[in-house]
Amino acid sequence: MVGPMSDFGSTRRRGRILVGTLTMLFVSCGWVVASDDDVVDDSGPAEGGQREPHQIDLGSNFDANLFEQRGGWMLRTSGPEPAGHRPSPALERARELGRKRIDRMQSSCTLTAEQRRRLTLAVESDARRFAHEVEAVRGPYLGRRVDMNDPAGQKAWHAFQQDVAKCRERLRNVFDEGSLFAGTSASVLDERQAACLAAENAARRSFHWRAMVLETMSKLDESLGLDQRQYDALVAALLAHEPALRNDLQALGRADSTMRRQLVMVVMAELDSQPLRATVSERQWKGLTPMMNHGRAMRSAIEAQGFLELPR
Amino acid sequence: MQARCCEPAWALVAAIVLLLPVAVGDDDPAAAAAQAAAERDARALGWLLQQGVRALAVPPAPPPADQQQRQQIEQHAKQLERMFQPVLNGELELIRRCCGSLDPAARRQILAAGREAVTTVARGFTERQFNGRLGRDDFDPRGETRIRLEKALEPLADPAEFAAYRAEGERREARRAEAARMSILARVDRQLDLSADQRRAIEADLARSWRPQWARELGNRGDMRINDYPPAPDEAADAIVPHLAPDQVAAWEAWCRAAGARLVGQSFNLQVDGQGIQQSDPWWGQ
Repeated sequence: MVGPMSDFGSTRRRGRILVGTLTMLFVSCGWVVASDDDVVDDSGPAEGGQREPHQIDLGSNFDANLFEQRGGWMLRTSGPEPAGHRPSPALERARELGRKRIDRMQSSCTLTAEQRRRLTLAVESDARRFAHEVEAVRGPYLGRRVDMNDPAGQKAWHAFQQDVAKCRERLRNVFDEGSLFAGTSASVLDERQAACLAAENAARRSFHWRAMVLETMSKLDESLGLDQRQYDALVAALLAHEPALRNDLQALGRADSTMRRQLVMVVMAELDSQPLRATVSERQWKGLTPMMNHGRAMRSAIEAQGFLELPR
Repeated sequence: MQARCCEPAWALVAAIVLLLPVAVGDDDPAAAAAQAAAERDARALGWLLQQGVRALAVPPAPPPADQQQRQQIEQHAKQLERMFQPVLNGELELIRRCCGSLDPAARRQILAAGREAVTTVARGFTERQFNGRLGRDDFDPRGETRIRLEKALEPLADPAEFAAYRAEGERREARRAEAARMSILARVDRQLDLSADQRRAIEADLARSWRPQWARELGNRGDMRINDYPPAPDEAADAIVPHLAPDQVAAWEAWCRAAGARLVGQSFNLQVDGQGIQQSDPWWGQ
């Protein structure tokens, strides 16, 4: 893919201005390249002024990969953790997510003070449980330094990735079905409130799906030379097959433009191909087919990113 | 290093012939001076030939810096032509669908115009990359390609078919604008958690106050993270802020301070990934 084509001069200038704060996409580096989302951050000074990029402190990478990365992997090579136990931001992050959920409920179905109090308590309980679970996984990595040139170090990194991935998955589901928050929501909301909330959620899901479809179609529009009739037919077919997007904005925010486009192509690939093929010309179909095949192959990766509700 | 000609007499004659056209033509003082210099060089070369000179050593001049850059631009532009090809193929497909009665000679002319457009656009794009102007002017590769094709098509196509093609182009621009508005709105919603009513109101206001440059919000510009925020679409603030609640306004202001257009700049996003109609359509000829 050819993505943003930054001009050379302004990229350098912006790079200077934003160094350390701008997480650049599409950074690749040596052996750690596993996907386009991997980032190597070696901006910080190494201990004693000596930089040893192959020595990785897993403790300092844990929180960054769990909370700052949206799917890819960040690799900090900037020296070991300072001495002493640094508390995990897990509790604060989970509280923040829970507060946002309550705020959304408040704006769509107007909670009473008592309902809000009970939901806040449920959020606090779920957040503490989540933080405890994360801490149990994170603890053994604190202060652990591995050599990535050593097979044992590489093996440790892979195990680390698996542990972080489990915690990411847990973070995604912290207030979902089975949580105290989900149970409390079901019991404290009256019928009218529950209906309001469901309608608001459905509207948001449809809105974001429509945005994804139109964004993707603007690309197909150019590269396939669609006319209005073809465009309308494809958009209608896609909108009629709305996938189960996760409705929390954290999950939606994780879906970058490539992922959004791929999701649309997944859905297009799963439509009945006969009417689709009849809508476009033979030449357009030849152009569309590889994109749909690519989309079809991406379903499991998209599901793993966690912005689709999966059947339990 | 020296350049040595095997047939020196012919080489000198060729040099004279090559030098003369430089000086022929204009009446301006520079042209006259060049002509005088060429004639002087030709006389000198003729004299050398008469004196039995049979070889001419020419020290190679290092290419000037701007020439080196021109060469780099040429090479890079050539590579980028592939990237712009799907835009041309898509446009040709639409023309074929709208102007099916074009005769083969006309098709070849249009194809040639399209290829020239791709070369020009790739060159313009590369020049902007090299001189830091990319995203700072109104350069629009798609628009440029379309304008050139339209210009070639108009005198060759049936007027009704040409009108149909133009109308399709206008509809496509409207679709792009709608997609860009949705992209802006979706980002604002993810950040500020809008209600359905707020989304409707902002969408309507974005449509009312639409600016073509907002189309750059399409694509992956929104994937950037600046100070842990996506880029704030603050160029469209007038259509957004009036519909926000006070706490959302505070969050919007914090977002703009952290990741507003001032920090993001006008990143250029072509949003072409080489996919689309890949094979050239034989209907257009060679």
